[in-house]
Amino acid sequence: MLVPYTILFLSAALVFVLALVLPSYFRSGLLLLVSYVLYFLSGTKNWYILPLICLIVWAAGLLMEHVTLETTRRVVYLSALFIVLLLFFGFKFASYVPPVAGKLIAPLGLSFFALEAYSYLSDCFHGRICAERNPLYCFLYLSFFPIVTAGPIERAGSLIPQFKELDTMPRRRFIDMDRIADALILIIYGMFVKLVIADRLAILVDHIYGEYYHYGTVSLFIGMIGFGIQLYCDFMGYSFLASGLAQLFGIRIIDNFRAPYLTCSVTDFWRKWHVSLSSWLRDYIYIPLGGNRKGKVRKCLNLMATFAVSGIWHGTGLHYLVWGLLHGAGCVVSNATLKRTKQKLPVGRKLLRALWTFLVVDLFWIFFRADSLRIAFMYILRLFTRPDLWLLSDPSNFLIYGLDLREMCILLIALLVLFAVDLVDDRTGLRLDVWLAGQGKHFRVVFVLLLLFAVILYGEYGAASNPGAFFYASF
Amino acid sequence: MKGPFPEKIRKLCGTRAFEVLVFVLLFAILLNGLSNIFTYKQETKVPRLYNLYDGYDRDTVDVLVVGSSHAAQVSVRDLWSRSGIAAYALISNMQSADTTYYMIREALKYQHPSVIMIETVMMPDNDLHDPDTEYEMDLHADAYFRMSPLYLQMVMDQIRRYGVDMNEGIDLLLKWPGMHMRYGELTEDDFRNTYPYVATEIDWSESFAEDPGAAQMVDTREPISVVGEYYLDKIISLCRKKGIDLFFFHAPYPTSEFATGQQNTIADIAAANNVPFIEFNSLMDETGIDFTTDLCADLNHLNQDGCKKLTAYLAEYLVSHYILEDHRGDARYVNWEKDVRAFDNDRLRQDLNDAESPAEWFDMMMERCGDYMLFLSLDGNYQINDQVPLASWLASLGITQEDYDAGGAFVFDHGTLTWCSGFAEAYVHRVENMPSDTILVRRQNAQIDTDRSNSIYIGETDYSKAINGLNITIYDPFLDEVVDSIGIDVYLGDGILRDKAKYNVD
Repeated sequence: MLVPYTILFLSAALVFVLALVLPSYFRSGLLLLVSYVLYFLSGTKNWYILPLICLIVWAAGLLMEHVTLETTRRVVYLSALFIVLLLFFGFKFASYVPPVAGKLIAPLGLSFFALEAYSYLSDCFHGRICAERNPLYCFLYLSFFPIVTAGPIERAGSLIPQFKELDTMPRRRFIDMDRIADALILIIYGMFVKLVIADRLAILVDHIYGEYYHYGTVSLFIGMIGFGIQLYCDFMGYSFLASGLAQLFGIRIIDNFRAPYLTCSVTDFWRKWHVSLSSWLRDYIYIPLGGNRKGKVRKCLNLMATFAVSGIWHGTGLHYLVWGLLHGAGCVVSNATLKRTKQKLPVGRKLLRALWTFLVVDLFWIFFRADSLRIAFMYILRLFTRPDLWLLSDPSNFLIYGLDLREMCILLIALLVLFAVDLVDDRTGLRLDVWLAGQGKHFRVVFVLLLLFAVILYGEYGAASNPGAFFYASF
Repeated sequence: MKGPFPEKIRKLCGTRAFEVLVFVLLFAILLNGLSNIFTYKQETKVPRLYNLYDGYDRDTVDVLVVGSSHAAQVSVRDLWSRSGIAAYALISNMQSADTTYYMIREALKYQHPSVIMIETVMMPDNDLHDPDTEYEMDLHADAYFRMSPLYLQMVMDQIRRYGVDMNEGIDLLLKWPGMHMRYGELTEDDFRNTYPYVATEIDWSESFAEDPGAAQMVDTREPISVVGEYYLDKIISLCRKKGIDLFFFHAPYPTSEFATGQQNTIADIAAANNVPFIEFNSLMDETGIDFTTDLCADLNHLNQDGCKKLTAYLAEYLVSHYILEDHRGDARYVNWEKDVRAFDNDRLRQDLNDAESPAEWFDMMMERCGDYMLFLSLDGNYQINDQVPLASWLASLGITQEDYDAGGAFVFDHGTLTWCSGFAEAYVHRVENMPSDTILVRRQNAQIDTDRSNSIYIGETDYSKAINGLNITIYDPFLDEVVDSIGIDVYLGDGILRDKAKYNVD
């Protein structure tokens, strides 16, 4: 997150009030101002990269619009793209270049706003959108504070029209209580999964991964599953928070997670996990490479290439690349072995497939979480060669990972809530706030109050608990 | 119109805005309740803010004693015993001038004392000491305040004063980040004040200083900090505004010349504002305090004897200089009686704990049994060991050989036998009119020798210790507390048990 939660929420509340009081046409300007103030307050190094990319992208878009000669248009497009990618890869791989290693630190959210810049330039060049004349909207698209650090990776075609609409929105609509209350529900649920589940699980996962070399199958399995859920709750929590904050101002952003661990194949998993990145990769890497239009072998190669890019995007270590390739291979295998059918699977079969997918994805996450490829392999080797199933006979054996019985109970109850909410999403296709709307006012009030107090009482925050930053903010 | 409410109201109640309003109201009510539960309560055996919040009747305190550990040398219990002065001490370790000021303001929300006496050793304040330690001590004291606008004001002052960074400052202001992790350590006391009176005061040391030296008395003036002076002025203005008589005192210890000089500066400020100031280092003859006998080994605080002398002087001073009512016997002031009793119980508890044999323990208990309730039970094969003279010890209580042979349980109310189980093989006896549920039980199917057959329940705790032998619990119904509870298990000899008996199976 950009700044501490309290500052963020207080700023959001203040901006909301100002946006309400000031004439409507100031709203986007106000959001841009607060976005840059918060970005600057975050203390990120090389903060100027963000406005620089905004400027390049906006100017290149306008130039492409005005230039009639196709070659010049292409030169402008490729030049701007080159600069964006140079900055992206320059900062990403700086640690491998001895003279600048440790000195050139990537600004916060570079991986995210670079992809947004890429999509804007590409969409302008290919005529999918018109270049934005007003720099305010272009800058705001790339710098909007709820999404600038860790996404979701939005598209200009979706976001900019909403900013424009916001600037003409009547006050009565701006203070639509349904929208505001639903936004608060999203924020509260986001905080619940982040502070109560993800940050609690982080204690367990850090413990196991930190000392994986003296644990056996059972502990390493718990660490593997634990990280899968931790990462999900961490990133999903952020996405809900971002959605809620954006929705507070009437901006609807993409639902980044749709119960991904209840899917039945790796391919389906990527349709519901980090949806904004998956769709970006699909639109700007997979389809330009030919997608599935050039035969089965090419499709497989395209998939592998797309996931390799995904791996590199996440990090420069080899383990990220292997992680990406494993997912590519997982998609290839699941496409080849599982028939897509419109018929609903029987519950038992679906459950089994979902469980299998969950385990496979969790196994792949080991490459994601480990500090290096070697450690990932060592972890997996021990996972499969150090059976210690007798540990299962005594539940007290599971209290050695930094969480005592009380913490474990809190975690398990919170996981039940998470499972229930995901199940609702999977069965009904409705996001939590929308589903709650159909459950009656009393249930909604009680449910949200319980979530809120769970966050206040059992959340991992304050000096004593050393809360972790959002995992994806580090990419 | 349909139903008891007009259509407009029903429509309004159905809106999302109304739902949000209800949500916010419920949230505020629950958060306030939880906040009171989660606020740190301080130890039960020191004067604490929590007792002013929930314990002492409003507007009962006549004298408020405020300050650091040096102020704790004044025994409010002795002030009560000697003169019936209803005093209350608000003490915190190394209490800084700003904490003293805010403590007073917090106390004034609940009490309207006629006199406030402030010990001034920490008044020179901040940069003259170690700021980090002082900040730590301030945070420590802050934790006991309930959330209120005054708390926010106090924290804002500290944030400015110590230059606290943004994150830490927000944590302090919200209070929850610092206290929410208490969900794992909550006790009954957090939900219900289990010691609504002071219980007993800070444990005075009985040590002696080997080479105490003397206070360096000078006439010079040394500067005190800007912060110290600022809050000193604020305290004086506050008391003036509220019509409260204020006086400062500096408890005796071997001060340096510099420290004495600072106290002289405080004395000047006090004089300029017509506030009395007592420098006890100048009153050694009047108080009878002698550092060679009345100072602790830490060379900083008075020991038990010194504290008594200091308190005696202050009691006289209060009575002669202020109009303070003697509240002894007044039902509203029962907490002060309880405080005296708690101290008494504490001393008895220590004596009983120090008893070297059951006979000695019985002798001490017999002297005081008229003040308490006694619950006894003879369990299992209690007669099997002739070496343990249970019958003769119990005879001193008036239990006959016949009653002893019958075994079972006995209840003595202030020295009088009020109930015994006789030969009953099983019983469940509830003692009437007790502050806590008190139940004596004998189970019918207990395996003699190995099973615990009898239990003495007070509240939810079973105080029986011995399996085969005697269990005795001394209980004070006035304070609803157990003074001592022992067992003598004849299988284990005649030693005093304070934990449940365990037999070595090997």
